[in-house]
Amino acid sequence: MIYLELFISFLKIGLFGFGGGYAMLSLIRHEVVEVHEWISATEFTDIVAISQTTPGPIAINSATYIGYVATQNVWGSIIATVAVSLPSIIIMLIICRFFLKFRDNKYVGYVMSGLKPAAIGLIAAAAIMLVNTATFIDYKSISLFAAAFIAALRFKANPILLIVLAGVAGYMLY
Amino acid sequence: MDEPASTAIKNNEAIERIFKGIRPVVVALIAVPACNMLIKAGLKLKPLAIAITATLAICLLNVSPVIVMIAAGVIGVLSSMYSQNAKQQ
Repeated sequence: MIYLELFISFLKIGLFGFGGGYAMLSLIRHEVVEVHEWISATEFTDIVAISQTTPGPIAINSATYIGYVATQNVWGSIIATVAVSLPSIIIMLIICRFFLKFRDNKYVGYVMSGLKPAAIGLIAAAAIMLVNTATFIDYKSISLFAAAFIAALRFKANPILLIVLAGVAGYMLY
Repeated sequence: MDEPASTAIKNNEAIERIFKGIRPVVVALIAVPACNMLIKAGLKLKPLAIAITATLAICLLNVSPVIVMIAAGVIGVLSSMYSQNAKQQ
């Protein structure tokens, strides 16, 4: 039953997606490209590109898109989007309720001391896994990558602007 | 005309050229926050070791990121308790 699989997959992504949208990319990729093969690796890259230029968090945008592609149905979108947001809604409600108790709990701090660096690792993995022959076709791709990397790291360039410029460059170069 | 709009967009030759330019830039836009967070974490041994191990486990050993996060939480607790004990003695 594809709707149930979709729901469970995105529930997992929502539940373990510590560290924000970029860290969730590794989880999303693992579930939808490798385990269930709902979309190809190239399609995944395109979804990330679209998600970065449209408003809203990557996890929500990709859930909506992948839900539709997997089922060819708007219900797929709705189920995946609800599933990916559900864990954080529930967890935040619990935290709001018991905030004072949790805030000073040393074990929460201990767990976070492991989760924070692991989230960085997940982001790095997401970037590395996107390096393939579909994303890097030739030296022009490598130049675009290097230019964007320096612009974003050194000059804190706006990601949307960089994607728009990359699109213009792609149209002219290829 | 009866093909869905999404397919029509995807098969457009101009769109494909645009995406060829965008794809490598997306990789850069994901790599940069990882670098920034690593710098912000202070490049200390424990976080660096956990981050690198997590990356290798996912990329090379194909471990599920869910498992990686659970393991990282457990390691966080154990290592913090160990260093607390070491401090007390």
